[in-house]
Amino acid sequence: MDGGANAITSKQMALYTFVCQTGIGSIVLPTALAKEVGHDGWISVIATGVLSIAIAALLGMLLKKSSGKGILDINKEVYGKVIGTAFNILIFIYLLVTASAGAGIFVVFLRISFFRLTPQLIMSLIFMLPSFYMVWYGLKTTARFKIFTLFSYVVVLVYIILIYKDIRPTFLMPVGEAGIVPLLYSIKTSYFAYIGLELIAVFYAEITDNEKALRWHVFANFFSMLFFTIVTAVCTAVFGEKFLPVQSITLFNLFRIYNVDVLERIDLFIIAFWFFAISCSIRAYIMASWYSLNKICKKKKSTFIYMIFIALLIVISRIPGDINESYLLLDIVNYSGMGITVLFIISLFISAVKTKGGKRYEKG
Amino acid sequence: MLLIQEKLKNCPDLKQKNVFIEEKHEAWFFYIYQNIDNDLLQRDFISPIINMTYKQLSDIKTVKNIPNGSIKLVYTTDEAVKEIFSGSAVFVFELIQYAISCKIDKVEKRALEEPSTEKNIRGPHEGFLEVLEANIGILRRKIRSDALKFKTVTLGKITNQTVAIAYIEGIANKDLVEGLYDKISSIKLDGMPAIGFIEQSIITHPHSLFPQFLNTERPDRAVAALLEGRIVILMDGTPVVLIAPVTFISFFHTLDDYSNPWILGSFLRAVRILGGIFIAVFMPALYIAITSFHYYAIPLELLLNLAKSRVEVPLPPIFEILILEITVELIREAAIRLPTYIGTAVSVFAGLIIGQAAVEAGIVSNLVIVIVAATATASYVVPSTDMALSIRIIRFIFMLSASIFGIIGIVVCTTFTIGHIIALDSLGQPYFTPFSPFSLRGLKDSFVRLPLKKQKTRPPETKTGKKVRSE
Repeated sequence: MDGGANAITSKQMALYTFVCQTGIGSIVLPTALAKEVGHDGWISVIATGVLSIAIAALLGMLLKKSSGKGILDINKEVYGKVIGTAFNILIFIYLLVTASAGAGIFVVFLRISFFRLTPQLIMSLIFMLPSFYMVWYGLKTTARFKIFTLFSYVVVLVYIILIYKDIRPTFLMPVGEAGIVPLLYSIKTSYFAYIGLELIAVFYAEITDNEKALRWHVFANFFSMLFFTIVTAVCTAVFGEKFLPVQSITLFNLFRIYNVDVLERIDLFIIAFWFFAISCSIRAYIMASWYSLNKICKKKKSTFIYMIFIALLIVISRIPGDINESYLLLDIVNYSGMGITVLFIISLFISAVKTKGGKRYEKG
Repeated sequence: MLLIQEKLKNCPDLKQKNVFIEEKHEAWFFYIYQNIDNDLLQRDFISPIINMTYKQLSDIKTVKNIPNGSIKLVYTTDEAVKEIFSGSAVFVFELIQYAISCKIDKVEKRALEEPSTEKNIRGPHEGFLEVLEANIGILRRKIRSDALKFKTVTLGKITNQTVAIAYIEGIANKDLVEGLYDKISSIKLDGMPAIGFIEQSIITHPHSLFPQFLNTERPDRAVAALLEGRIVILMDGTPVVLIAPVTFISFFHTLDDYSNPWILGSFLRAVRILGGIFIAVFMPALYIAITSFHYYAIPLELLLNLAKSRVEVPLPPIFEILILEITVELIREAAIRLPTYIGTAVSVFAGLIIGQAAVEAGIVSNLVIVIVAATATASYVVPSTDMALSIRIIRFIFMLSASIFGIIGIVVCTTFTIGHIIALDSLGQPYFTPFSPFSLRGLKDSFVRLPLKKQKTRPPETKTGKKVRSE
């Protein structure tokens, strides 16, 4: 193959970030926001989107000064070998637990939607198998797959057009009724959906055209905001603020409301298409954690270590017993994600100050 | 001399003609009787040599003046033996330091015929032959340019077969050509009865179901590939040549797509892709998934008919389909092995009688007959037999997965298959381009074929130095 097994372009990284954020995030976001701000969830999504774009831009700018290094290398440079490695292990744990939490919730969705009797372990193994396979081949393969998920997004957007008769814009009125304080408070919940924007820092060293990475990373977050806004607004306008908070898997329920002529039900196929996006979202974190592990260990990829890694991932994903515990784990992960993003920014900032901005350092 | 005779003992096809130079110095001509054109041998090699004196034979310049284009001097016993078995006649005279070899081989060739596995409507109706020189000649006749080059290598420790790598200088990527040459040169095998031995020795993913080199018997296809900047591998002893680098979608292309106007060509191609991929792979799996798990996805009227059709069938859908699919595979295999006239009769007999009888016996439902028949027909539209076989195997995996996990099983298999195809490469170039990595340039000749005017550039996977055609 051309380039290394992990070499990707900035466009691929942008798609990676977009799918990572929206694949799982859009499924339950409308319900979570409806519980907090009623029909004003879409405002919260836009406000958080603007914030996430700002954070993405900051990350991108700081990374630009890092002479093409990823956060795992920068940590070692900034904090020294021991503390830097400790931070890197912390990042690895965060990424692994996030991947496990995603896998756990994916299996819960499957159990609720399709397989009530199938053992969880079997489901985890079988349904994550393509992800394990692709991750083994590296970031390039994982990133290249993401282009096929765009079809899932097109399907969802077309579906939204098809259900235009069920969309009642009056359900979104009056705008801003929730008030400023609850809306500001809900930014925390909305931000959880945008988690994934920090992955660029992990993979930055692998981006072949990283001079364009900042621009594309901002685009990725912008499109995530756009998609979240559409989904949240449509879900609110279809279900209404009273019915929306009681939906368990909101997006899937949205897929069930349309009756097609002749075919009658198409929800099965749309849900099936959306599974591509969900699995891609989880795969993004599996790849990131496996990549970090290899960086920390500085070893060539080994089948034995990979097997242990998979076992660990599945074991952690099985910790939550039901959907509530799964959401709880996801909450923990989301808070950690916010913390990790702050850590990334601090590390990158220190690195930028120490090297006086990459380029000048290189000249010196 | 004794050394040569020792090496050539127990070779009854070998002719040793004893002659005397100047009527006193003993010498020998060695050749394989059946492989030599005896008239030419007599006229162009034996006669000139026996009329020469010892002094003349000792002078290299005089020897090289023998009126034959393939005179060659060999200096070791091994070399001489190799020449004899390559179809040359060798003159051995112990008083001179070398043996004289002359290639005047006679090879039985069949006529140029259209390959039975690669028919086309509007293109030429000729195929490659088993003789390497003839195949090189065919390519030369079609590409009359000094840019067409062949790098040859002798392979097979015992068989000593010649393999030629054809490419167009200035268009084909030099690194790819060199890399392929190195890979082929490093093959260590006793012999290669078929070109598949080369393919399997050099592919990077030997455990993959998907073919990574395109094989063809059609010179027009090889020429089209060369003009696009691809490399063609020819081997002595087989009419099949290999083309690389190729992409997944190129296995669904035929030359008729280009012979027809672009709308017709695109339509034919779209039908092939729709049939070869979507119907052949997904249709039986979807039937199993829907009838086993998601019956609510079937429209009510169809569901009632389906229920009526299945009411007398005691088997679950997976067994229903498997019984018929395996039967179809058996018929297909039998039809290939039997002579054409019996094969056709067997196909018709088995297809009609077994299908009808199976429905009446209550083993399968009517709808399954329709699905299996549509699937079998769809899998025939794939022009590459290698890809068609891959699709047939994948279909079984999809069916089994659908029978256990329903539609999610199909999603998992699809993800796995696409992931696998993305990870593949052909001669180091991404196999799933132009879809992933995405290439707008490559997309012009993928699902559809845009007009030739719009296809001014060569495919991206060839990594050609000359991106624009006719430049």
